[in-house]
Amino acid sequence: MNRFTRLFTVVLAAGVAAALVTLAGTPTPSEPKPGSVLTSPNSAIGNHVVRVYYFHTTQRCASCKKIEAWSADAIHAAFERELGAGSLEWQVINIDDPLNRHFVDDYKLYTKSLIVVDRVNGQQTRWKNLEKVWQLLQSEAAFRQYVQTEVSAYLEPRS
Amino acid sequence: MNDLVAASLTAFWLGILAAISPCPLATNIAAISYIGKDLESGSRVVASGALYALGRVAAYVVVAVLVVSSLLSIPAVASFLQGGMNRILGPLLIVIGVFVLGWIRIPRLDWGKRGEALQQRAARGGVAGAGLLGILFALSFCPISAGLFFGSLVPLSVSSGSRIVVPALFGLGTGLPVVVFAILLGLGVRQLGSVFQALTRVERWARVSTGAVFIVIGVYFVATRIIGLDL
Repeated sequence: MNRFTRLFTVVLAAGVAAALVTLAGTPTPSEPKPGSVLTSPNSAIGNHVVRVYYFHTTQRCASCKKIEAWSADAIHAAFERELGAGSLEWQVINIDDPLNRHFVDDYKLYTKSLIVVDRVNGQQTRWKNLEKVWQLLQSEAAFRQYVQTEVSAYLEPRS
Repeated sequence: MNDLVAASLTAFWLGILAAISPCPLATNIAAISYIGKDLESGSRVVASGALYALGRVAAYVVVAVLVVSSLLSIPAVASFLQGGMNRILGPLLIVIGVFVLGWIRIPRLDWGKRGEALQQRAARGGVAGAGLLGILFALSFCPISAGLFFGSLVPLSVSSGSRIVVPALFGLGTGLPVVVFAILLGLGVRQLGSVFQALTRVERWARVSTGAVFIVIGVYFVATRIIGLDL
């Protein structure tokens, strides 16, 4: 082993050690960026409101960003009127923020997720994890159709 | 019976969807690099590819059985496999890369010729190493593999009543790109070997590039998954 490889090995070993030390400590989740939670200003408390959450972690990935962007586009394209009226809300939430950790238990989250929630008179009555978003990442049209259909079903008054 | 066939095909397709997403690209490159370093023998390359896929199959079957049997809660196990495993992966890949390059050697024990052979096999990584790599990479869940596995595969496994076959086919699907590469490379090596006899030198460079790939990907994982850089 020559001097260069020995030096490089030492540097790498130090890097691995530093990484393990970082690993041992609890990473401090970053604060959610201002504006990452977008709630309609006209929340219709007291009647029927559908809320769509996109839950993510501080660490983002290409597929996760795609799901967020496509979901936002699908919702804003089809439900601008409902968003304006406050009967539909779109929220993007970082579950690494300690204040948001409860959502993991509330909705049994196991990865970045798109959740649609029905709220009547301020109380949650039902919710659904739109799990197929992961299967539809190859087709934006199918993805949009899926999200819009599911949100429409929640917006319709239940008999 | 038809339901099981449909569930099996769906599981295999879900595995392929997970494999071709951008998320596991780095681990696929590492696996292909590892499997491709044994250029002396085409059959060993193919065997490594098969063992890599089997390692993935075994990992997904075990996780599916534990989850479907309700021995583990999905949010808890998903959180560990996406968080903890991914943080361990970076430092581990760097260590493996350093060993593959031969910069660190296992202390030589006085085991005679048998010990020497063991030492050489350990330094080479061996075919069995591909199986372990398959298990390790399968357990380091990406968001998309977690979404497809826990959101689609596990419910499919429950509804079809198949705790083994359905997750196994998912695992096979996730390993497909690497298996295809291993078969192509294995066939290519056989033809290459008949053309010229300089494979020993080629293999040395293949080993160096494998070690380098592991270190680079390990550093990338440390930077993105431990330090939190958005690369």
